[in-house]
Amino acid sequence: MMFLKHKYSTEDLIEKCKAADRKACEMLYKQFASKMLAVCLRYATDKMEAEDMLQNGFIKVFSKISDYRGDGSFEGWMRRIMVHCSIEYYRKHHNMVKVDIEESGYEQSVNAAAASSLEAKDLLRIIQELPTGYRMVFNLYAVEGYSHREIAEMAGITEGASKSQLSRARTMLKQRIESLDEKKNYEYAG
Amino acid sequence: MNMQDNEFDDLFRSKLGGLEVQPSAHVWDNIAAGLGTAKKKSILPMLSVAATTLILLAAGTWFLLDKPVKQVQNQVAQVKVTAPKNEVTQPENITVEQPASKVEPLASKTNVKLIVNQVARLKTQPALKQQSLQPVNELATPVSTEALTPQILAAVPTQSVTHPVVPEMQLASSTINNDAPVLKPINTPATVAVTASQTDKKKKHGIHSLGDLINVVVSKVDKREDKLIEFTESDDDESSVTGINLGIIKIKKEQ
Repeated sequence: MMFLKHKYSTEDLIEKCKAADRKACEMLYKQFASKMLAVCLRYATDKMEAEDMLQNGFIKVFSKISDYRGDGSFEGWMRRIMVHCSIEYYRKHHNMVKVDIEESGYEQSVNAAAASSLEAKDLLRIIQELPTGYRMVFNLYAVEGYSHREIAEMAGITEGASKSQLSRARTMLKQRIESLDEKKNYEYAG
Repeated sequence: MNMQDNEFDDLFRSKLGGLEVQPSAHVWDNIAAGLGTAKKKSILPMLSVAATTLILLAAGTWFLLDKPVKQVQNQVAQVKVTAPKNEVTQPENITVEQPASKVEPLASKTNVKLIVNQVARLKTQPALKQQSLQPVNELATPVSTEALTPQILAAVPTQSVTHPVVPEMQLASSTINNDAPVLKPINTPATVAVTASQTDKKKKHGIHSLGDLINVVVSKVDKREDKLIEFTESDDDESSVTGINLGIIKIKKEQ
């Protein structure tokens, strides 16, 4: 991975990719693939699905690379394409049914220490276990930083739906973290 | 300690933001394959452009190669008419190989052709050269050259008045238009040269439509009697294609 960066700068590779240099495309892919797969994984239920999104995303990146004018980071530009492709993927493959879970009557709280102790992979797994719509909204709002208005536009839902799905997603995630924490404590105690 | 929503979100952002997971090897193969098909699609329009250019080039080359043959034929036809005048002077001037004895039987048509072909190749005769540039019709060129000499003028108009119906090479449209101009030369010798050729007439009348413009341009390039493409203006000021000559394919609308 690293030696590629020394051989060509990202800017060089982008220019070569604009000229449809296949080798440069591969090098650029190798440079960013693992970061971008992590993005896709947050939107997917498993790695296979994430790799499908990654594949679509990179094909789009290379076909639109001439649109990249160099304003803003290339990684950020790529990341946005990956996010859009992931949403697109769900529009095609899943009917984004609003899964209604039983309303928890009280505001779920979570222990900060418990949450912080979780590994990235654990967090990823509990995100992947969320219903598709919740996962998407939570990712877009909490991780990507989009506003509810932007999310409504991107996902084709109302702003209200975005807000309610975000709060439900948080609740579900907190429940999962609590149960994981309890499990851990139980294991330590036992 | 309970977490605020934004703290909770931050936790996910910070922990997942820097995550990297190596994808399977086959992902790149699929992307490369996807790029390959995208490329093939983009080649197709380029191919059609290349094919069109090739066809146009081939057609152009064919015209260039085809033209000299036609010119020689036209010259043969022209000299056949004026033969009595040229025969006496030409052979002596041009070819030394030509024995004196051969000058005599020139009257026979086969010999005339032979000499004419030689003349065409040598292209030393200024009179013939001028004719070869304007193979419009038989009567057109003689009229224009003779207009310079007033003595012969008397004979010219009679030629042009009787001939217009005869030449098969003259276009149907032009014979109609020529009727009036042909009569004029009798009174004003100066206009004879102007009205004599089809192309000159068009310039004089101005270019009214795109069809006229194309006619003028085509007639500059294509010296054949049936032009590559020919437009005729109809009554309602609309130009329509009345003739196409692609060498093998000739279409002409009779009027």
